[in-house]
Amino acid sequence: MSLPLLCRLLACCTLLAAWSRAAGAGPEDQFTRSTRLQPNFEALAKSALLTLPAPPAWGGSSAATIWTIDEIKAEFAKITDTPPQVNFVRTQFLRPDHAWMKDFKSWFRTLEKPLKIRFEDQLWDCDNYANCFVAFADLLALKAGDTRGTFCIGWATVFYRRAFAGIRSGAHAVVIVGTNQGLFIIEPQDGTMVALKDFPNRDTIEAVYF
Amino acid sequence: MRRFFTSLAAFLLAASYAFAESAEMKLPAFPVPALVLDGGPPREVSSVRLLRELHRGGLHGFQHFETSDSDYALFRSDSLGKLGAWLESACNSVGFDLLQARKRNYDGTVFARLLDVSTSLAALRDKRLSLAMPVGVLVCQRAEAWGDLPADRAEDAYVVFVTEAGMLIYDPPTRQLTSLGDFPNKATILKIRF
Repeated sequence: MSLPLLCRLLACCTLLAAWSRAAGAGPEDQFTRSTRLQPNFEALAKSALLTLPAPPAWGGSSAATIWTIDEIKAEFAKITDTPPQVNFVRTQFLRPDHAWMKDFKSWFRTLEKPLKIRFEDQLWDCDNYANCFVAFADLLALKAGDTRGTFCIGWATVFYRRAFAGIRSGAHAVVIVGTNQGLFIIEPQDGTMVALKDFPNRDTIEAVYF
Repeated sequence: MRRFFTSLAAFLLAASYAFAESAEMKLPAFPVPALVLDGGPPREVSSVRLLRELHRGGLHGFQHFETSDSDYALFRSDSLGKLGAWLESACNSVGFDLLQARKRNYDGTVFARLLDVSTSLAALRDKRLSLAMPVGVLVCQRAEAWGDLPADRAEDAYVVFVTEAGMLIYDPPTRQLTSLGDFPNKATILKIRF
């Protein structure tokens, strides 16, 4: 075999290998463990700032304590006849001062108009409400330099046997918060807050998600 | 030139927060997500399809996967830069330096939730959208090093996006972003929740 022919053959093989690699590469192959996201600040700068009412000061940082998931489970077991299944992604949570939580809840209600919050199946339902509630609490803690972790706020699916805060019966979801006075239920649609021990459907809470 | 304008935009954003210092709370406008479309409407992804994405990423028989909605939209992967910028700017607006966050106690679930909520609120303003936003949280043990993050077996949490390029794992303080298939701690994932 002549040298030029061998060179051409080698070049063809190289091209063929490169082509087959490119053809086999999926869109996910552009993201490897060495990729870094380039934040697009220019896209963001085009939009106006969002102004929200003055939030309650995070003065409760000294009163806030850490609550573990086992302590939360024990609290459910103490208060309910049939403790719900507790699902979680973190094992410890920031348990705020109760007075701060009440102020925060009132402040959060004032956000509904500027944030244009409305119920929308899937896109904005109880889990989104609970997530939004805890996200803003987390932002206020970050604002105060408290990085001890996420707040003890979750949501629960409940089968209503007794009417509560305007909801008569059937499957529903509520927000659950833990403060230094224990576990509380918040009805997302009107903001009613009650201690878990006084919640009429506490024994039919099916699952809790923290 | 592009880098100059990016830096300028970031500076102007930060300056606007500084000048807007008052009792009121100022946040950057929620980032309207760019979604993958199916001709006209956004492409819908069921929770079953999310499970399939886990398989595609190499997670087989994974039991610790939770979804709170049945149908999700799909992000365009080229739009994630806007979400990353929003998160850093929102943290700046409350005086928190996200890029330095790992020097103190760090809980990634806080930032995954902020992204989920901000994109959902942005989508809520658009009356044509009614799908849940594909932002989740992944908790794992750092058994293997990933870029700046060491292999120290500590528990850590990252943001998960579902895009046309599959599931992508994002660590906001380091800006690291990888596909699930190339995520080094795939074998030690403890939980994924959407």
